[in-house]
Amino acid sequence: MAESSAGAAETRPAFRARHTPSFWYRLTNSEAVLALVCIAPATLLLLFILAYPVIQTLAFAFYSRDLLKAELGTQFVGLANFAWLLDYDRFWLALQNSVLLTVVTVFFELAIAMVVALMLAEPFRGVGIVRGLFILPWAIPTIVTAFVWRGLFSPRYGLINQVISEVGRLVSGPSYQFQFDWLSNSAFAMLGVIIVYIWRGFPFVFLVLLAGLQSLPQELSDAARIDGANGWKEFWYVTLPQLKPVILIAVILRTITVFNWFDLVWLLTGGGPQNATLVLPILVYNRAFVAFQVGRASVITAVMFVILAILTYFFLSQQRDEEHAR
Amino acid sequence: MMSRARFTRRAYLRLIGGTVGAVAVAGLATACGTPPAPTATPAPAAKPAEKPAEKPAAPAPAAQPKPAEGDKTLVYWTFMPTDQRFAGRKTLFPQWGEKNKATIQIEDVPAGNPFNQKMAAAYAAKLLPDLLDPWDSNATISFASQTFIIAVDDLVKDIGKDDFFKVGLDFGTWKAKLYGIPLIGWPHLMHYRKDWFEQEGLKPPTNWAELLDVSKKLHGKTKDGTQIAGISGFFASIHAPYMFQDYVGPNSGYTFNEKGDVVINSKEVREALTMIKDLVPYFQAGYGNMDYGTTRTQFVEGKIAIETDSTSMANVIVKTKPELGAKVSSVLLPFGPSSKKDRSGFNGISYFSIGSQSKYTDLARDFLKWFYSTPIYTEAFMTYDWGLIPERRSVAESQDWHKKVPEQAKPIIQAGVKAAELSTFPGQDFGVNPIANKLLADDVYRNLLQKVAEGKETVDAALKWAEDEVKRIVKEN
Repeated sequence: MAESSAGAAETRPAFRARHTPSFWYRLTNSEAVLALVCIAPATLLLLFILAYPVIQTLAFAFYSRDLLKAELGTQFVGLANFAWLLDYDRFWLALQNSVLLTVVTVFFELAIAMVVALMLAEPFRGVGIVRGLFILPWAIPTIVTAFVWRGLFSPRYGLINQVISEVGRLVSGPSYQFQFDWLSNSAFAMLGVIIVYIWRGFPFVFLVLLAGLQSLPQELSDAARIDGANGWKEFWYVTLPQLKPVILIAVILRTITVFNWFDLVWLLTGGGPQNATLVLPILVYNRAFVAFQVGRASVITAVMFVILAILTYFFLSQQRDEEHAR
Repeated sequence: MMSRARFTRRAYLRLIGGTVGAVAVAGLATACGTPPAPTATPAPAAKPAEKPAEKPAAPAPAAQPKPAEGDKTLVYWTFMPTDQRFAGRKTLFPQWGEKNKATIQIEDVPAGNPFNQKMAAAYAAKLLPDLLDPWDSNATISFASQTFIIAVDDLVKDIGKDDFFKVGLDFGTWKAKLYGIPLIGWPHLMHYRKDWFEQEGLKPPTNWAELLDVSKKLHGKTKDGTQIAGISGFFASIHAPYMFQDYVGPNSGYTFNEKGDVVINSKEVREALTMIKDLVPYFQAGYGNMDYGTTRTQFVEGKIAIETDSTSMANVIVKTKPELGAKVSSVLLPFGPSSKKDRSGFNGISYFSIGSQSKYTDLARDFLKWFYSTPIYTEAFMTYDWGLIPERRSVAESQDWHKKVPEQAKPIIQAGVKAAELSTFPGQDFGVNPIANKLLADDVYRNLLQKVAEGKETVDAALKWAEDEVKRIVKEN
């Protein structure tokens, strides 16, 4: 060892000349190549099943294709579809409705799920059954959810109006009857849709938060309590900060889902009344499968994709910044 | 240490490299090698040829059975489920098959997007069906414009063009060529509870003044223990255009004139919308989000006195509530004050077409000629569900068929045949108009009805809005 150290300066060039590793040796011993080879199958698969359709959809945004005028074929129209979109008042209305629906739904899902998760985080007798019941709405098929809620909102026979009627009878007399068409009234339809979205979606957030809560170290909470923190302070200063990464993931996933959710709102209101619940996925559906305009449907999809990509990047960068700060 | 010695990183990379290389060599060899001998069947999953009609749905366009020696198989995609709606195919089609040494292989495909997607995929794979029945005019025209189906003018001429209802021919025509032979129609009618009308001393309305009057008199009455609604309203996105047309058509109103100019803001349409507005208090609760499938259910359950709906009501009564047959009757939609009585409400019409990639075009044409011959077409309607109107006038009006129609369905069928002559389509008043689909995509008719019904705007203001919308959409397209 000492010998080699002493003579290192003189011997290194000669050694290098004789022992420069071959290209093949470097290739087969490279960490980077190994990493590339390991992730290549998954990457190729993802490229095929995810990137290809996305790129094709984005590409279609620059083409005009009307299936009812198929003889015109597919024509490159540059930014014409984008120009059309900017002038299309229903797009702005749908965007506004989509943002409202997503923000309100995700906020309340998070709030309700947090309360329920905190209540059910600690074990008690029958906790499994109670947790199962809270997860139930998530397991019900969308079509069943839609028809059950349409029934509940039904103006004449719906449970909601029946309950209000019963209360009204106690106050105003036995002849009182409340009949309100929740989903057909342009002022209330969005509220109805939001309620159903929250009901259907909060179990997922609840599950994510519950898993997060159960993985938190108990020591910090114990220490906070010893230091005299009450329940609220313990939650605000100890539990919530630790849960932040989990919350962020739940918010990202739910934002993407709610923003792209088509079937539930379609089955509940079809985007009406008077476009009160018209959201971007309905706009895409109508453009692609009613108007048969593939290019214009694609341009709306492209905008949705960009919005969600920016939002996801924003959320993830928040998380990264926090991790760096720690 | 042992495992590291046995399976090093280098060994791993060699393994991967070797595998990739082997796959590449094998791929090259396959690509450059001798092609496999051509086979008659492109699909591995062959169905038994002797029982073609018993398979309820085909999983993929490629799933065609190998025909028997000397036999030819014509693949037929239909949106009308065989077992539920046209069981007679199973007995009728083999009659033709035996004479022609051919088999009609029936595959049920749901109407709408599943059918569209399957057609597009099959076209790309050169596996279009030999025969198909596009479920409506839009589907026919869409398939025609994509060259999925071929023109059938000469075939219809041979069968007897004058015998078909003109509306059916007009709406299967694209660029002056007919792409589907009109098959069945289900025009809209006014169905009403005859027993309740008699109890109240009312007569079925023939005009709007009478319609408003009877709706008003019946609304809120208690019948069979249920508080009933006077008349049905259906504003759900999917059916609102039909509701619009059920009032605008019978008042001789149009969205476009013959030259394609926007004429929706007219006296006739204004009167129709005013009528709908006047009827709103007598609609069933929840009309704003209902389709006419739901109002039909409510009518059958005794919750609505008058229902605007298609002739399919006959099948519902015959098969699910035969006892209602004596209590229900049907008439043409009442005419409005400006009506020339030459137009009525909506009609759904389906067609029979030939796929453009068929290897057996002559055989397919022969089959259609046979199918549309008076005795076979009449027999077919004895096995269709009750409530579908034949598109050949001679069959629709034939006593042979009417005699076989169950008693409960007779008033509906009789009125339906009259309505088939007068039927109309929203936005397509003078034949096929692709702009109509754009109006549907932007929910123009539904929004118009909702504006009128909510009453926040006057009918004039709502109509002006609709006119501007239609003009905008025309300009954009």
